[in-house]
Amino acid sequence: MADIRTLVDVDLIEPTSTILRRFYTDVWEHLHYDRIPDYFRPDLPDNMLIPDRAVDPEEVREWMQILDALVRDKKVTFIHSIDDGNWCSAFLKISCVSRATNKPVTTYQQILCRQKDGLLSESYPQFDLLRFFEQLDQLPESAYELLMSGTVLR
Amino acid sequence: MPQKLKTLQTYYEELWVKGNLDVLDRLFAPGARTRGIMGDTAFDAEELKELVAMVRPLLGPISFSIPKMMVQDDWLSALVEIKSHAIDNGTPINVFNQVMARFDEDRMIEIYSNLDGLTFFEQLGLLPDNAMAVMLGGTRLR
Repeated sequence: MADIRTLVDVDLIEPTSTILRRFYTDVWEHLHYDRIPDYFRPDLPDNMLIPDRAVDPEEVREWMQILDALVRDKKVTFIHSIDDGNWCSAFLKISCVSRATNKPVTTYQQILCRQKDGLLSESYPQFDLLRFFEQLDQLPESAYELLMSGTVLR
Repeated sequence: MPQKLKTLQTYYEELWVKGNLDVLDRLFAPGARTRGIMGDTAFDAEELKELVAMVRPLLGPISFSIPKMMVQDDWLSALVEIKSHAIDNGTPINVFNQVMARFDEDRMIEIYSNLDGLTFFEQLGLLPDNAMAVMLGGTRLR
């Protein structure tokens, strides 16, 4: 039996990266959180790559609001994206400003996602939180180097 | 198996699992840089070898799997799951890494890697439990 995850939708209305770009502009940059449900329709867990790691769309609004409490003026730049059938992988730069210090913050995100019928059916973002918290002054400078060399920060 | 995937598998298997540092010369094109393993710092092959030599002793045996990989033109992208345990206290390590790499023929020249560093260091016992929630709540760890 064919693995459902490899079946390619031959009639994509638009590439998955196009949907993803619109999502980041609409939601991350323009804060249209009421439109979040327009981008997601989670597939059945059995059809997902890693069901317990996939984003729960219900939590996206909460995540955005937590971010908004820490930073403002989010700008998302797609550095590179790959489309392969229904799947897309993208590497993004996120620029914003710390509310606490007014200092610029730059961090990176990679996201892997799949579309089904024009909506994101599963997605796996990886946000560089360590670098993010370092720039918010919640971790010391050179946090990676300190941690890699065994420094305990707790 | 596509050559690009083979190169990536060799990267994890030889470099990270076995600690065979010399393999990098076969996997990295001259001038290659990798970013994201440690924030924004770019590593060349020699610096990456030093990093691998520094990190591997923190871990027990390492295993990995690649649940998803995609190729388009010169680029490869993969989701990689890494498992091990902390050598100090035996805590299981289970983290995901997303990697996007540009190839110059069969070798990688430009690599962007996003490791779930917060979870990794939490599992190593260097950051508090639930580090993400703790930090999103505004706690300073410094």
